[in-house]
Amino acid sequence: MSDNLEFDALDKMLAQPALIADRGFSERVSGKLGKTISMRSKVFVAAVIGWLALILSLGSPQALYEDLSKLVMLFNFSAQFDFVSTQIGFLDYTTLQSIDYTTLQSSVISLIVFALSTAAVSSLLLRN
Amino acid sequence: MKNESVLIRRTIRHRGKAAFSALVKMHQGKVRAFLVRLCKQYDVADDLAQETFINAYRKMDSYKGSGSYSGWLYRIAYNCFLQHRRSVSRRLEVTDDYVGQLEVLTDRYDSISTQQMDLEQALAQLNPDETATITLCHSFGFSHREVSEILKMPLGSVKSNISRGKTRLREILTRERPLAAVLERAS
Repeated sequence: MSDNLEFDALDKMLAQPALIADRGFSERVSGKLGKTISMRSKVFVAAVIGWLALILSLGSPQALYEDLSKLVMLFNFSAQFDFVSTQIGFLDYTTLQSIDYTTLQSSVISLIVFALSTAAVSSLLLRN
Repeated sequence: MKNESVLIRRTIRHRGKAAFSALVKMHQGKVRAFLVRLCKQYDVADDLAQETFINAYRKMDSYKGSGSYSGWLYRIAYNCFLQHRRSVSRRLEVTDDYVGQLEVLTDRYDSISTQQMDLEQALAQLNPDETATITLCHSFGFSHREVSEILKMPLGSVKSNISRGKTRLREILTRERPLAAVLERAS
């Protein structure tokens, strides 16, 4: 009987937990939520600005296609990528011969474009 | 609770920060108290609580509404704690069961009685599974089955952890301060 009473008292104690005071905790969490969102926006804006700067430095968006096609042609793609490489090659076939960039330069530029595009799209698709 | 469901809906549909902040305000006291009982350190518990709420905001879409929102939060909090414990164990090569002493800081609570301080110190001497099950079941009112779902622990283990933990709590409270005195203060 005594044991039961003690256990009942223990249950009573446990049922009254001391709660931690807020003291600005909620605001700190809200502030962190804001930061994660603005970080996403910053990545997007930086990627877009970088992409635009690259286009301007290259002269025209057409040049981007040309570089991309060079990169595609650089690798010996298997049959499953033939369609893609054909499509990209078709886009700029007429201007491809007039490019002055070396293959290495083109590859680097294409990789930068790819990275910027990935960053921009990821920042849009990924949750905070 | 109706208010809570409105806030949850707003957070999910509109990614509403204000609505989520209100949810944080509503639950932070219990989530942090739960984590303090598990980690025995207020600052670490606060960091884990922040991580819990930020994870909850990110994963809000995955909250199906089938169980209680607070249960879903405690699940995230417990996962954060387990992850923290694993990283601490790796770093310090700690092999014990994360059992320790808690220096109760009264200024961290809205209000805390001597009796509650005794209880917090006694709970700190249990292992995390015992503390988590007892806290969720006896302090926050979840059923054994709900605790089993929240902690992803077999129902039998939940029951045995609670039973073993309560026996140990009684021993600790009796040994360190005669339970009669504690009960006297409680009445």
